[in-house]
Amino acid sequence: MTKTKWVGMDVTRIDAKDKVRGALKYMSDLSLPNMIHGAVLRSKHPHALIKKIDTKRAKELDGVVTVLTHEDVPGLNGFGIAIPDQPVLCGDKVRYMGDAVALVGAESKETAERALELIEVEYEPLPLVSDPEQAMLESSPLVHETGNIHNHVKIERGDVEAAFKEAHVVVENTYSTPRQMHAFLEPESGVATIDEDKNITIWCGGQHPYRDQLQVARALGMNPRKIRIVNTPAGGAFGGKDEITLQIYLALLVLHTGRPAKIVISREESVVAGMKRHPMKIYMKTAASADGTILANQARVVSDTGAYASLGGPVIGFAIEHSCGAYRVENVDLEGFCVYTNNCVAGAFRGFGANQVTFAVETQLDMIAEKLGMGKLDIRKKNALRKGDIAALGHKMEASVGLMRTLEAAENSRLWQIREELKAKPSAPHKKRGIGIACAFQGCGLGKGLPDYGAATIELLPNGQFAIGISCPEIGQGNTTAFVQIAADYIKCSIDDIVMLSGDTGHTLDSGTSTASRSIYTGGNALKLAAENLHDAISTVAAEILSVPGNDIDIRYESAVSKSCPEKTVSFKTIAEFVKKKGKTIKSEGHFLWPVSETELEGYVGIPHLLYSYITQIALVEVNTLTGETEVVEAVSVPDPGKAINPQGVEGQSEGGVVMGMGYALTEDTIIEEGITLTRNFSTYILPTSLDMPHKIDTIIAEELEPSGPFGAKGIGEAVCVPISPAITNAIYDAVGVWMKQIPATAERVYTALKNKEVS
Amino acid sequence: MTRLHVAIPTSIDETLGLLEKWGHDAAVIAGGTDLVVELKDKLKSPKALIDIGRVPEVRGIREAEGNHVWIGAMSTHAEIASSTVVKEIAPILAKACAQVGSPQIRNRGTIGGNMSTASPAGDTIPALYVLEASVEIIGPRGKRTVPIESFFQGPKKSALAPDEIVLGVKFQKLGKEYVSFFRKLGQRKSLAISIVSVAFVGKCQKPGLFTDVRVALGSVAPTVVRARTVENAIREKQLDPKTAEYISKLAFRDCVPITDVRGSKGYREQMACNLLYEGLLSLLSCCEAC
Amino acid sequence: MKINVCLFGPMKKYADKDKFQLELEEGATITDLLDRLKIEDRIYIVVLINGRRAYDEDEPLSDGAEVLIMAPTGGG
Ligand SMILES: Cc1cc2nc3c(=O)[nH]c(=O)nc-3n(C[C@H](O)[C@H](O)[C@H](O)COP(=O)(O)OP(=O)(O)OC[C@H]3O[C@@H](n4cnc5c(N)ncnc54)[C@H](O)[C@@H]3O)c2cc1C
Repeated sequence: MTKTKWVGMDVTRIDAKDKVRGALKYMSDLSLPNMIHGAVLRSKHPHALIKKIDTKRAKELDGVVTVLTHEDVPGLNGFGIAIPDQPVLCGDKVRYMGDAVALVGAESKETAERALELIEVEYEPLPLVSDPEQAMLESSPLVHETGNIHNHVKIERGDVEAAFKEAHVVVENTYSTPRQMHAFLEPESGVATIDEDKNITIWCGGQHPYRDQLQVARALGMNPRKIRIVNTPAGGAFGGKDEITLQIYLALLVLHTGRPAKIVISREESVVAGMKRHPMKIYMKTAASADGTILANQARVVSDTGAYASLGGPVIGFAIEHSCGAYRVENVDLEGFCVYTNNCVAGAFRGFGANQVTFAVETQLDMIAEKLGMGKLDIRKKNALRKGDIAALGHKMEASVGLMRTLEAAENSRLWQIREELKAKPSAPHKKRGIGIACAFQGCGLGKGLPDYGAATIELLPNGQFAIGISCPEIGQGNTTAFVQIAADYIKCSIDDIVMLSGDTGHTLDSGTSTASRSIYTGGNALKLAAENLHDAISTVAAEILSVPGNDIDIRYESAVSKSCPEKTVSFKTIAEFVKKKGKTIKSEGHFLWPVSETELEGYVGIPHLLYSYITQIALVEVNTLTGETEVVEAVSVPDPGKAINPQGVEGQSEGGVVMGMGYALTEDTIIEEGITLTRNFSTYILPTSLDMPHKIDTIIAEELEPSGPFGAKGIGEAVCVPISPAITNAIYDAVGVWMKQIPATAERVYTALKNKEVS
Repeated sequence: MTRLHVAIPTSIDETLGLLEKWGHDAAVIAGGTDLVVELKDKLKSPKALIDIGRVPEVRGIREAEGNHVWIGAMSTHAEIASSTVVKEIAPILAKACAQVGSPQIRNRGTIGGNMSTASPAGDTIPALYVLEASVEIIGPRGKRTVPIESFFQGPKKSALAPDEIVLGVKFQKLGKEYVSFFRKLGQRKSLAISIVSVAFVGKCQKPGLFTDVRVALGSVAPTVVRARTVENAIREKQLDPKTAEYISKLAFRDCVPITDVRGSKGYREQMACNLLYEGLLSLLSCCEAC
Repeated sequence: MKINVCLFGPMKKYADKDKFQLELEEGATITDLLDRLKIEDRIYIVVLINGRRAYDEDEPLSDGAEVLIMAPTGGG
């Protein structure tokens, strides 16, 4: 591998200073002269026909500038990444409590909110469906005319029935997983402006400015080039701002009033209206031979996408792809349904369907190991995917596979080595300790059948610095810092000489999403190509300055050198000045298209993937047998991100991921009953606090370099929060002997399981 | 925009005058950690807030006559948790205050506010029950003192009239022979509303033998309750882990909990018993150690 | 000139095959290609020419170009 100066170093995040000083302006901090404040009227019923909307009284209220309904949406009244089935403003029907019915713009936020109360909407309530399995029945009320099953995936290989007959052990269980909330720091918010030529600029937290641009254009029936989207900073996202949030409302307000507009929604509104993780019910039957080889896996997964599709379709495909874990399984029968209900919409969320199925399959694996009297780490090693293996969907693992490396590093970790000693020392006699381990892989990029492209630009600035542009927004994960490091190494300059432009359709080319563990790989590869083009351009100018032939130039650190006459050198700075004097610029582009798996699954897009990140995680828990409370005492996280561009950044992702996966395993759930959200804010939606964090989280980075990646990098943003959840529930079993098949494993659920075990 | 009048009186008389002036449109604000949430949720819409933060008569923690300790209503949870007086003579209250919310909440939230909100989940209340505290109330009709158990009349209902405020709370010092514990079960370790809480004080005759026994349970009834059945069972009985477990099972007798998103009725009943048992176990093991 | 066309996702409905070659007049633009394929949705669409996203529908195509036509999407 190339020697690097910046890549692989713990470079301080470029946004650190502004963030800790509070200088960084989030969307809700922005304020524009003459700005109006927007508020959205949400539905009063989880499922109802709209008979009449009367905005007269609201319009008459002093200070109200505009009240908009479905009639005021000039283009397509719908949005949705995959299919536009979610109305911008509902006209005939509402399908969940978060549905938008009207939009108010007023001189103040208070007035806008008061106006909402004056809008009269006549509803005719419809029977609702809140259980996805029920929604699949013929007799169920229809959420959409097209039927409640939005997507169906079925993949079969080999012969599971024969394998079940032959097998030494078969385990069969049903699992269920919660509606986790992204709980980003800043609820959905943004501002927008419009100029005399009706050019609209929208600043709003998001994850793919160029796709937001197209979705806004579609709803406005406008040329996308008249819409500029700025997504950075995002205020946190985790997938929850991948879909359109408020962008179209902001655009409608400025379009109809000609004035700047701002919308900031409350946490309570975000909880009801915003995206969530798909709750899934997973039936799984897994067979293994006496030596622990997994022979077959059968899964039936029902996923609740709520009232609208968003990315529910791809999520169920992804779940099926990952439903056998990071293991070799020859016989599979995997079926998934993505189902509409009158619940909150579910969409993209860090892990993208892997979290749910990994919880199931990693529990299955532990049960098998238990029955065979086999070590929990051994059974994983036995079945772990290696490079060249055939994975569950029948596709070959063609890219780098680091699972064994992560397992070995996990095995050598302090926690694993002294686990028996730690387990023997609970803090009280009625508390029991246990250790759990789990693995995962996580597809990077959009997968087969969805061309995944990205671009980067580099411009030599007049002062000798370089402006680099990548549109994948900084959503807090640190990709901009990594881009700066990668760029500095490819350009051969100091990181201090790089100016980062990100998440802005006005200043960057389309680099795709900040999702799917893809932005560093995409942006990095595009930067590599852009840097090559930049070097060509620099060489031409340097040759002119040094009076040598163009092919005689070599690029060194911060300078160009004549190959034949090495004392002839010229710095990037001098080149910049020279170019400026001539009234020219040096600007390059790099365009990258992802490689894809050779395997094509007839009728499916987005699966399989070519590239995966891998991870093994371990949890030591202490369970209070009197209350069922589970405390994660320590955790070890061993990710394979490919090359760690910024190891401290990987550690940050890893620690955050462990805590997010812990919340998923133990406490987090957006509870909706009969369409009504019971957990309205962070008082009842239980996120872990700093006191709930494990006392110690060790991250051991196990790099398995990926030749196609920038300096060998893959992605790591998602995998870090996946296997820790089953590692924790497996540890609960190790501690107290109960399998938690439903997460979150709240204190009450663990306690109840303990009681039931006592009884039986 | 709705206007909210804010008054910052500097004496009790001024406060009472303001309360009389604004009548039902007034709300007393101490730390605001309960009230502001209610204002945000539009559960209350007062026209005037009367901020009692600068009223000297409701501030301070001091030893009072008759071997008493007096705590001003405006004392914050942080102040009480770190008060040497409280830590020494009523450690159970210091511990309870230390478990309220988070540092930010403890820095603003007050004991007077916690009592006046009259939530069955208020974390200082079980401790005040077992300390057999009395609440000092002042109003236009003068000062009166109410035993803590009569102060609470139901969820969010107290003996406080709209024109009265809580001045402070006082209780008798407990002797050195008293041991205690406060245990709160929440959905997480901080920023958690109690699913169940248990406060215990007992006069320790010898390891495992308590004479004066007081047990209070939070979040298992419309108000915090004394668990008298259990108290009677523990009093003057030599406890060992087995009998402690057995007796703790009686705690449910004084519970009439509800099911909500935080926990079911059945779980709450069992937890009242188990938290008591867990606490007794820790007392037994530490008594043995000394 | 010959253009190699590849359709993805919802765009597949505009032709019998996903991958094919088309003969277009010299100087034809992306708009001409979209007209020829009778693609109606001109807003929620992404066109890649030789792996590079084209932002301008008036952009002329060149002989042998690989043109990918898709709707924007997402995934994990
Ligand atoms: C995030 C968060 C976490 C919390 N966690 C906990 C917890 O763990 N445990 C817990 O018990 N509570 C908790 N609370 C509730 C609250 O913090 C406490 O009840 C606190 O003690 C209230 O005190 P305050 O001074 O803020 O009251 P305020 O909000 O100022 O007042 C509350 C009510 O009491 C009235 N009032 C206040 N003082 C007086 C007085 N002297 N005389 C008459 N009436 C008065 C007010 O009019 C108001 O109706 C939490 C609150 C929040 C927001």
